[in-house]
Amino acid sequence: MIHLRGAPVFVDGRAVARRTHPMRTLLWAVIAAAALGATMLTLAQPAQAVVRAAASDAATPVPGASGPVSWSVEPASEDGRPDGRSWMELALDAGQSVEAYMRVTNRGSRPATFALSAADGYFTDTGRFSMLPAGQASVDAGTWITVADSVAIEPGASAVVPFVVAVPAQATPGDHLAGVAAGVYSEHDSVAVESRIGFRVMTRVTGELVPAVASSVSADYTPSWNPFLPGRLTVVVTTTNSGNTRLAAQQTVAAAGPFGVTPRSAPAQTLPELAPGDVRQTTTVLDDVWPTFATTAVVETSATGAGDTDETAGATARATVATPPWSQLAVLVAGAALVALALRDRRRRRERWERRLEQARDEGRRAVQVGAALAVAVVLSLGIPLAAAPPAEASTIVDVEITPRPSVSPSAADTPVPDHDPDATLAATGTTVPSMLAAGGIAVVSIGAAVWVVGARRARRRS
Amino acid sequence: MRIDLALGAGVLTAALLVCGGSAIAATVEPGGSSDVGIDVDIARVTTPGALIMTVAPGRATLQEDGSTDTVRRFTGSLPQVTVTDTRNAAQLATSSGWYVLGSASAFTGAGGATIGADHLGWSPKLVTGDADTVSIGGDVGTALDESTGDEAATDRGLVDKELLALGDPQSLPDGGVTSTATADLTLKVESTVPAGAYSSVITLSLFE
Repeated sequence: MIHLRGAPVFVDGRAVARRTHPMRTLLWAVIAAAALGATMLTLAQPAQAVVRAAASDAATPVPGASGPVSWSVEPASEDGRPDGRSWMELALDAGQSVEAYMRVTNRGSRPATFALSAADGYFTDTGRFSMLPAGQASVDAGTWITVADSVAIEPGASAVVPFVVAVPAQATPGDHLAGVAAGVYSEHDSVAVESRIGFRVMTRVTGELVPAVASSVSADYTPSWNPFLPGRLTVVVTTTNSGNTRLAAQQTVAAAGPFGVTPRSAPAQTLPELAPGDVRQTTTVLDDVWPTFATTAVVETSATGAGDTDETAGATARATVATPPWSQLAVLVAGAALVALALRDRRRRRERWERRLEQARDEGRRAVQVGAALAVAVVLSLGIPLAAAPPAEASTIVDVEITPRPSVSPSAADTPVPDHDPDATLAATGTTVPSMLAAGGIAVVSIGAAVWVVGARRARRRS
Repeated sequence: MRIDLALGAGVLTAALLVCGGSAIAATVEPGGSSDVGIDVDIARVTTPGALIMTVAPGRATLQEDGSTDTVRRFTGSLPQVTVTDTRNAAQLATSSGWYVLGSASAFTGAGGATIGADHLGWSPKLVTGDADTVSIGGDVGTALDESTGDEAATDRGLVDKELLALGDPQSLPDGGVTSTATADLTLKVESTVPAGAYSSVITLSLFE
């Protein structure tokens, strides 16, 4: 027993012992009463043919100093020899009863008394058989078995303990699980430990055997943050043995997106054995499920009745879970945003470029105007001295000496000499052209200057 | 603007590269170890054996240890349980292996006060034996512990049948095998639980 002391710790060991004492006395009184009750119950059941088993204390404490207790329990035939079976399977009609035998062997070095029990059997979630502990009342096949309360065995000896399996008349057809066990109690200060060895007693009541299975599914999706990796689909299946036989069930879990895209499936798995009425929850994880907005998990269960029945049963259950591709969408959005930014940047760049081009054109046009004006100015500035120069050149004297040719014919000597004075012609042109050039140049320069001034003013105004 | 754009594109590319790389790394299987198998055929003994359970004597008390202001903690250990399997091949033909399961009843105290069995947890340990032929059950936490299980919650306590040890008939060596297991027990209760003496029964069942 654990002693929970209250907050004010003034209770010393003696006080605890004193407090414990009446408790322990009470406990033993209860055990004694229970033992007495059990003995009376045993005596009241004449059908129970207990030969080698003696009714004694319901619980057999293993005294602390007595050394270890070692024993084994196995199904036996009537002559007491173990029949090599690991457990017992019986096929009985409703209302029928049979006597079966268990062999308990004391493999320790001192006499020991073993508590015998029978209780409802069941399979744990992992499919392991066990029977209800002593504190829980059986409601089914455990109540059909009658066995002595305990058996005392000398070291090295075996006891063949009979027990009766009596199927009530109103028992339903199908499999009913129970177990029988022989065990010892280790009495501890705080926690008592009941250790027992048992075997299954599986009774099949004859009648119509209906293997049936039902299942329901729930699914949960965990997407991957990595857009290149699939997510994980966790499928939880609740399988119920809704028939009346033990079932060996196989289950396949598959998942697919809309219209069956990206199908995935887990390898078929064999479920731990299911007793009638057993509900088993299994979790299957599909690791490579791509997010396809919606994923449907389909669970197919096929079950075969245990034993001689060849009948099968099946069930299909499905569940749809939302699988939004968040990480993939995020990548798409980021890529689209980058493309949009790039396009906008390009457009702006082109606009700026065009603006600059226009500006450059304007500047170029202006520069051309200025250049033209300058060129005109230069030409003019060159043209004025040119226009002034001709008289000097016009006065160049060209000397021509005409000598009479030794004529062969007098007509040749009569060749008329043009009476044209080159000096006069040159002098005339020399005076007319420069004056026109000067007038035109001055006009152009003044126009250019005016244009330049206007342009400059306009530019100043614009800027 | 151009730098921002280049930075964005670079970050996106780098992220995609990292993601792709890790995806490839995740997909590529690590190199499997090459085990060299040596086959030795040893005939099993044919004399009938038995599945034997041995329970050690001794007393164990849950002692208060490591309590806090809100949770009181008591620890102790289970008496050692030894399972000896000397059965022969014919006997093992129909066996699916033995196992020792444990469950606890609720702690009952004076005046009808109870502490649920879900407040008692255990941590099974192999004392002697070959880890190839016997498997030890997983830790079961109390209702006041955090669940550490991936698939099933571990804070369920010793309410249902919990596995202490499991023997595999396929790996049973010639001449049988003996394995001893125990478990550390931990009881955690709220500090508001009324003071008094409480007791519980742990049932260990050997079945196959």
